[in-house]
Amino acid sequence: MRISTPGARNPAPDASPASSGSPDSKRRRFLFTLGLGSAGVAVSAAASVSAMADVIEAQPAVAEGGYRETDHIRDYYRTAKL
Amino acid sequence: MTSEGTGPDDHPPEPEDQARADFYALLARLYAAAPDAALLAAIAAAGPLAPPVEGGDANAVASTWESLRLASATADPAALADEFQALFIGVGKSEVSLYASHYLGPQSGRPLAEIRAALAELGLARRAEVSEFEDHLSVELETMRMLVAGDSGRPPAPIAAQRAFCERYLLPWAFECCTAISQSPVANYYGKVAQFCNSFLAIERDSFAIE
Repeated sequence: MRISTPGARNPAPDASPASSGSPDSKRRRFLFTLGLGSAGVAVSAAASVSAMADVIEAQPAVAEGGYRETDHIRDYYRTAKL
Repeated sequence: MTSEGTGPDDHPPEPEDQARADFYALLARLYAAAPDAALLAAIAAAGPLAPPVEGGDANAVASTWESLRLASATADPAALADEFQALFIGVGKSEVSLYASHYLGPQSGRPLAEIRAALAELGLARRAEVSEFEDHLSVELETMRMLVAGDSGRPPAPIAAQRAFCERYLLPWAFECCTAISQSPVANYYGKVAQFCNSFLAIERDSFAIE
């Protein structure tokens, strides 16, 4: 079970979401009140079982033009450890 | 303590952002292919989205998530494979399209070309072996997962970049797509998926608008 420092970031239950803070903290507070803060571990487990949709991947920086590397170029990057 | 910045420090994501990334991952997976028994069991076993305050507002994302969880507990993987096929693949013509180009009219330019360029700019591309085009709902949801959570050696994108991608490429058509799925007579389990997706994206839209 891994829950990251739950005590450290729990806003007080009566804190008003819009009372203060940066847009980012207000955004988090909004998500928290919807229960997303509690989704935590179990949803992570479901997401990891899903093993990702696996439809996209990060690209190494490509010099010119083309937006997609091919498999053999990817293999080359992998073995050459550029 | 929390900085707005995008420094290279690798704090674990806040719980809300982790949950967002997980939901994006899950939805991307469900729109890529029908779930197998293991995934159905994991969804069923995941907890409800409890409001943090007792008696707190019931909300659409919590109730649609609950419906999806309950449906996952009793769904039959073979039936879901048939449902996925009938809804999204079809013989000849699918019941519902999962592609942005289907929903965005010509006035919106060339969605496929634009999202290809946007992905390239983000340093992403669809996997070579994947048959879906880049404007597929699954690809866009998976892109959001990567932006929210980062990926092997890649830091999470700043919230402004997440917002920009979501508002530009996903929100203009995803609600219509989800509605088409949930209204389809062919949809059963995927009606629940679409309703959850719809309410999840609605809170994403609303949270991005907070300033």
